[in-house]
Amino acid sequence: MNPKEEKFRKIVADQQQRIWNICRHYSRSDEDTQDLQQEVLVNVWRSLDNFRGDSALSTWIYRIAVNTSLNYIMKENRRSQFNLTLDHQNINMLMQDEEHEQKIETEKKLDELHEIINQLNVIDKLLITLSIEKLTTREISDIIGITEPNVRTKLHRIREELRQKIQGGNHE
Amino acid sequence: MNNNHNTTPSQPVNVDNLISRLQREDKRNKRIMMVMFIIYLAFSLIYLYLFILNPAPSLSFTYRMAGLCFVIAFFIGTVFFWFRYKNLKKLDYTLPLVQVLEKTVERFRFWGAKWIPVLIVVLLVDIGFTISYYHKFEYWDTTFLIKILSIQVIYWGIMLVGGLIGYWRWIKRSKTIWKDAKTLLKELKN
Repeated sequence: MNPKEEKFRKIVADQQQRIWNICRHYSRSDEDTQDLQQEVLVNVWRSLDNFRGDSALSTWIYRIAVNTSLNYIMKENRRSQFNLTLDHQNINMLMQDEEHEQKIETEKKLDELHEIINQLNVIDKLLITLSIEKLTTREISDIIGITEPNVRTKLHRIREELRQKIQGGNHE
Repeated sequence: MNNNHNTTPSQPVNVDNLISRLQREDKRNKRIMMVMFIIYLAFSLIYLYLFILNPAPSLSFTYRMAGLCFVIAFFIGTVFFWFRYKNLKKLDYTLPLVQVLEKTVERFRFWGAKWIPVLIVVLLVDIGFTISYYHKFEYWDTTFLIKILSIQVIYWGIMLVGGLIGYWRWIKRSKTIWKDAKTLLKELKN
């Protein structure tokens, strides 16, 4: 087995869940997710020779997964159909921050919030997927290519927007 | 889109299958690049001989000049498409999203500085075409300027049709991706 093949096998074994977590948000079914996951792995294979270790392997994998997934929805013309499937724990985690420890308690409100999240634009939804993967702002900044303060500002703005919408109940 | 599907992979990836497929693809790509290089080299030599070095006395100086235009156009065109092919294959998914989107906008734009070599090729072919076909108008009793303009109308008419077909293909295949990438970039930079 050559070194490239060995490295690739290790990545598949260690990172498969991470890749799946990103891909499932961009696809309609398990079959779709599997196809997208394969496409991500193909791009991992093609890029493997260029991995110099400048960033963590997980960040590098996330970059490939995010870029491939966004490219996939653009090619398939599904940008407006990119919906997140979040469980209640994820949504609660998303809404927590140091300043406001406001938790949403009722199941009904969580469902409403889920609906509101899916009305956000693609980039905001992407930030949410990375945030619920428990990535730090530094890692998100590395993956997306915007500064850390910018990531923090965007995440704060998204949380505020969601909070206002859920409190104001001004969604349909 | 209803994407209420599994939070864990429902099936493990068949790594053996995937690796052998990718290795086959790598080999195939290398072979394609090699075949393209050989074809390009062969055609360069054939064109060079036929249009410029050919000792046939019927090949006058003006025809040789036209041939030179075609050979240079062929050379620039091949180098241009060679680089475009290599860059398409080399699309780097390991870059940060902002850079990938910027490159996508650039790649899928209909017109840009990247097409300047093609414009040079079209102009060189125009010169070669005009020199080659001028004699067909020899017996037409009109001025030199009218003859040249007539050739230009025919040539640029053909180019216009080609351009319109290219534009139509761009609308069908690339415009949505270009617009989506631009929108995402704007959302990211806001």
